[in-house]
Amino acid sequence: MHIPDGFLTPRVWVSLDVVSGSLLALGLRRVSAAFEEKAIPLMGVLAAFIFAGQMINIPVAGGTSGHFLGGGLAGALLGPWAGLVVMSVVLIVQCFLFQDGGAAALGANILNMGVVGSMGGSLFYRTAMGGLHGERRVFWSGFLSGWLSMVLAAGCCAVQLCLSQVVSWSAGLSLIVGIHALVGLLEGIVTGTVLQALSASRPDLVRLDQSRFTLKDGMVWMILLAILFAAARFASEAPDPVQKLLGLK
Amino acid sequence: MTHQWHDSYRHQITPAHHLDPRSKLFVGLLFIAVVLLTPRFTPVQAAGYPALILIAAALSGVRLRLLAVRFLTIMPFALLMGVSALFSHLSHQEWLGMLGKAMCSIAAMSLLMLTTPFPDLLRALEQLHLPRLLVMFLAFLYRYGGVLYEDAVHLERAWAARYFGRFWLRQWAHLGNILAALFIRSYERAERVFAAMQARGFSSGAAGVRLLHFGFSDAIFVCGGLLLLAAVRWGRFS
Repeated sequence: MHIPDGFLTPRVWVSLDVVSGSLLALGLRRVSAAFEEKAIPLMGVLAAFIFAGQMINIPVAGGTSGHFLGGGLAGALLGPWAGLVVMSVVLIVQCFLFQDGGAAALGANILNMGVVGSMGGSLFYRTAMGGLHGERRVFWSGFLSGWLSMVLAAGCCAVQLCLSQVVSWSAGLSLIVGIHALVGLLEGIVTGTVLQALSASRPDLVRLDQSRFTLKDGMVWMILLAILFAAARFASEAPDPVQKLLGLK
Repeated sequence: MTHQWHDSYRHQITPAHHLDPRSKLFVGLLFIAVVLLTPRFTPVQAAGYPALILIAAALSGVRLRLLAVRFLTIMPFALLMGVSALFSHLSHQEWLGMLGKAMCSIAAMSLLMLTTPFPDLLRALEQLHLPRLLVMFLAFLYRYGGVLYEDAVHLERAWAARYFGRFWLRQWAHLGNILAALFIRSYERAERVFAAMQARGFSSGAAGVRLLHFGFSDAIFVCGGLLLLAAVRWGRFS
């Protein structure tokens, strides 16, 4: 899901760099205000944990393998803002050290896996925990958080590629989202199992989240997304993508 | 800890290794931006951008085979584009142009990182006024990512030795248990690390002993790089 450079048009990657950079700056402010000094190295090591967790490859099928992404888990454990910061740090290191994801496309990747993956994951986890009951509710909340965050992140990635007109809307959405809806099941299983195991052995670690998602944060997020989609509208002179997708033009 | 992927060239003595990381970062990112903002490659640009990469690789003493291996990271997207091109208006020239841009970007980032130790890059980012908290998280990730990776490999090996031939969906469920164990180890390690850091008088910021100095060679590198880049991008050759 790490978009390399060259696959997004300049208008798309520049606007996404601005949006993700602003959100990351906001996240850093929130984290430094909400977390104690002691939590800062802990978060750094937790970023290293997500990074190391992504290195373990598990066979999928036909000689291919997959790995854990961790956006939903970071969001569920650390909360929306700290999860965004941790995922951004992981993506920056992957981009610089391993060239996994482009430098110019870093904003797009942070938006997909940090903002949508981690912040979305936090929101889904909280909502599911509030709505579900029973002994396995931590697992199922984690499962939903992992699966939904991956599918939405993949959807976002597909939209960015479609806006850049490098893939068609039908092929892009069906291929990228379809594949990740299946792979996301595995992400959901892993996220749910990790949270279940942690809540059984170290329940104090499952309550690390100290950065609440307030109404003000929601407003800022909505405004930035509105700016993003307004900017994306000018990404090409072709007919409105939604109209094109629906076959209206 | 040795990061084999990018540390193999770290201790070489070449002109590129002596440059200030800020100048390399500036020229590298500018190169990527100029390449990506080029609408369509003319023949001069199609030959010129790779030539600049080759010059930089020669100055860095980096083998081209290593750069070629790194191009594999774009394969999933390249294949997706190839499949999708069957259903869209993407021409072969446009597809090749995208691949060319992606390769130039990967090569530039690879050369930057192969000639710049990561702690020096962090110091450069700090001096370029990136938020200190972000730089500190990056430093922690770099320092402990490898340590935790080794832990993860040990856990993976132990798990594989006990689990060969089982149903793969169950393997994924057990990956959750492995990661939970890794998480607890990481957390407890972080607590010990922080206590040790406090004992040594920890203050936030990137740790490193090398002081950055923008010298005459950096000025020549930046000016030369800009001139060559401008010549390839906007030069008119008949």
